[in-house]
Amino acid sequence: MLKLFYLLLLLLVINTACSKLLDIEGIESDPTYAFPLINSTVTLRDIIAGFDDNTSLLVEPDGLLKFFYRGDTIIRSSQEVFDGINSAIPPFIPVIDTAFGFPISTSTIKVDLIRFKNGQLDYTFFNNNSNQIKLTISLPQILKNNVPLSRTHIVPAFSNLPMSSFDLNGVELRPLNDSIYFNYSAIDDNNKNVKVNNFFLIPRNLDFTYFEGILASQIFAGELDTLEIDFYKDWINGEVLFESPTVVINIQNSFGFPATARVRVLDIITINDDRLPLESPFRQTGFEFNYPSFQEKGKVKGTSFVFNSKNSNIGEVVNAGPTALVYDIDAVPTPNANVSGFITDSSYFAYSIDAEFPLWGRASNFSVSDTSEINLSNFDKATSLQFKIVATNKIPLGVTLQGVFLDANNRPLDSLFAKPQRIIAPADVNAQGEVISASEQITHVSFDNLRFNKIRNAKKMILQTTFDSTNEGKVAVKVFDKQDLSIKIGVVASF
Amino acid sequence: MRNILLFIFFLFSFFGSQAQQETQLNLLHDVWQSNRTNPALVPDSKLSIGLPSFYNSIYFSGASFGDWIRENEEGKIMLTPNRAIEQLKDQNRITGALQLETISLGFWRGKVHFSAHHAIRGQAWLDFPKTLPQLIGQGNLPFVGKTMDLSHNLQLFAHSELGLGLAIQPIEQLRVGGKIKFLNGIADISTTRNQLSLKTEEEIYQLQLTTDYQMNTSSFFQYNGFDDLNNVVSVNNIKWSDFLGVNRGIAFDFGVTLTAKKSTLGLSLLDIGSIKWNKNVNNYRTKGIFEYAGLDIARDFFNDSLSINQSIDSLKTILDIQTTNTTYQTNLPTRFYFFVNHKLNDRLTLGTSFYSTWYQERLRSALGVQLQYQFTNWLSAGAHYSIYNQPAHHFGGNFILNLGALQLYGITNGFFPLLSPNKANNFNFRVGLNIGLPSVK
Repeated sequence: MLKLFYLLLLLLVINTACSKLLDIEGIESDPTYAFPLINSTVTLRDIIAGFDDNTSLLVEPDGLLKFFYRGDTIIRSSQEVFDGINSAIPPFIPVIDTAFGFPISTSTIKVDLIRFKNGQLDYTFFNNNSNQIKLTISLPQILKNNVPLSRTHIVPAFSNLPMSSFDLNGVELRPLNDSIYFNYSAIDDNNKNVKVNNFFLIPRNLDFTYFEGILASQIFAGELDTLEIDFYKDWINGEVLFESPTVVINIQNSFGFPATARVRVLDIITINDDRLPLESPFRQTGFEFNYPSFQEKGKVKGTSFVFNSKNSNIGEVVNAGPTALVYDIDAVPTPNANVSGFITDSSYFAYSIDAEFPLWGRASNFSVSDTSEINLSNFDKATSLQFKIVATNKIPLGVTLQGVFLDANNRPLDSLFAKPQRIIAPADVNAQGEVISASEQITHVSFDNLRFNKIRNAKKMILQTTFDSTNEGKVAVKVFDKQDLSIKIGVVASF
Repeated sequence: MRNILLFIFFLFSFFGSQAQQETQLNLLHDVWQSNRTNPALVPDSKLSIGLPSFYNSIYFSGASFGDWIRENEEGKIMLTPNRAIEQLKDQNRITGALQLETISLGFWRGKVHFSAHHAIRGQAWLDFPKTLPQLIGQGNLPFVGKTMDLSHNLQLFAHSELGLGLAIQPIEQLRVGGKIKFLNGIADISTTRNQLSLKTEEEIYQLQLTTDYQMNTSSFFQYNGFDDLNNVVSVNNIKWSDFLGVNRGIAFDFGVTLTAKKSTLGLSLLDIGSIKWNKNVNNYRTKGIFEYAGLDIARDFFNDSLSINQSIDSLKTILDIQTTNTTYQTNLPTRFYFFVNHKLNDRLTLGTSFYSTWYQERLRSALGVQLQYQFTNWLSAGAHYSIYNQPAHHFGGNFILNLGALQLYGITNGFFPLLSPNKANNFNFRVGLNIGLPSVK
């Protein structure tokens, strides 16, 4: 009851003296708040990472940045050679006399030494004599622990020798005059030398650990591959001229013989879908690459061959705007080298290709376009916005922006500027293209109530960014990893 | 921020002027409530019963009531800081007072007068720089490159009190009185440290907030961060139990009157006491220099998501407010009254009253002169001039209507604000109803 009494009194007060104060429904004001949005310093590496996560940006020893693209690694192993040797050995060898030989070397492979990892040599014969015989088989070029393989059998008259085998695991083959020989002697009960019929040797499941000899024309064939270059992915127009682009072929080799890389295909696909061959004298001659010596068995030797502007037309084709590099490379033993080499079961030949564009060059009206999500919900009560952009640039690239605001259905609402506007001036450079002083530029972007109402519900913005190097792309400039761009953005929002 | 401002205005509509600058009540000795200005001021009635009486005042320095509040074209009552700003000085004050006396009782027993009363009282004031409403009404753009002083002193509290009084008349000319008041705090919002300033840099409007600020609250105020400003005041959660048994305090009043022939003078010291706040206490403390220069997200700016909401969110969090729950104590504004009443004849009385209050280490005073005329035995009325605040001159008056044992009275320090409240800086009145039994004399 007392509580009710209090409430009645309070209501009395509210409805009399202070009714207006207690009925306040809002505040009439038109405040304009100024506050910072962004205050950040970025390097070109940060900006590029923001554009595309797949682009690699490396730093040269002197700090110069370079775009870097690496293709897949293609591998050829020793198994290809061993398969060739295997195929040179007949699957079925008839022994037609007590001393018999056959060639092991071919026109493409000269064998000096083979070590077997696995395999067996089966053999059988028929004793067509009327007496029991004692037959001894020996293989002087096939040795185990430096002892030629040999075995003796007693075979009854008119009987077959059941299939027998030599285990070739750990066995060495050392041809004599490029051939291997088989001998046998058969003595009957009368101590008389006789012959047998249907004597066959059958090599099975041969596997090798080591080869020594000469590979005369063995070809390690590569395969056609494509290296995507996304530098121009969002390109609209304009050009970038690189002063020192390169294409590098990287080879890793553990085959122990001299060989030459033959570049069968090396073409650049341009933004206009043209296919421009990279021309160089080395396209015809190929280039030799490093190999391990006999003393370096097991080691992998690396070689990088660089196509640059001095030995090719790369400057011309790269500046046409590359989007991909198509390539195919073979490796062949160096012709006429006639040098004995080796292969182990772990030997391989691998290559990859790099495209490198050091950021030393000129950009002129180089424009890219990207679409970003935007959200202006925090300004839903704002009546106008004015952005102040303060850019301090130590990078010799200027930025001109234009943006188009889109609604949820991708319909354009308004543009960021009446016409594209430079918001970041490039840093000043010396004759060598190196930055000597930073530039500073202040830009104001205003959205009055009318314009802001247009973009209030914008969900996306197409941002067209145009890059120009210092002096509108007339000077080749260098971009180093330490160069940065300070961007500060403040906003004045009226409510 | 807007909600807080609205809430403060809401409370100021109830509470306190720069203390209750009542320079009339203690000159109206026939009104039982004059006892609340001096415990020695007791009526001659054998029995006095005070029915509900109400006192309210509000004061705006510089700007008038109408500058702060207006009804817009849609008929909505709006707070209009931008109109008020034009009238404000560099430093300003808004004060308010409320006194709602529910019931009181007084009676003589020989030479001793016993009394008791219950009341709800609230007082509040806000000392603030002009830049504070400017920040809300105009924003910080006009202050780019400058520092805005936002320091302010907010004292706002309400309590219920149960007073037990005693007055004795050892000799005919002298009355001495005292009163003990048992207090229960209802709500409090008070700052103990007041320093706030905001600097906006010219470059990209980087902000620097310098603070040494503490606000204590008890009962229904709760700060949950910038994202939840709509729920700072949980009035709906007020319960009857909030008024009793919590936030206890005690206060004392002392007074003396001396009558010599046709003159009476009085001296009193009131509200010597304090309240210890322990109900739902929050202490909001911030100290330091908080800088916000923008987000370091330029890389993201070039990325697929161009969002500036992140920056706004970060802006909200730059102010590091630590919240604790330590009980605290506030002193009541101690009041001092001195008056002289002189009967010029049987009908006409000339009186003067001096009033001071000591609070927050500052002394504030008021002076009033009154001419009271007894028209009939049932009607008395007076004209009153007082000087306090800015503008300093106030012309008010009172009436006392005695209808048998029933007494109705009304007092105001200013007629003009009652007639034209939109142009007034001061708004002040008291009304009440009493029952008095025959005089002991």
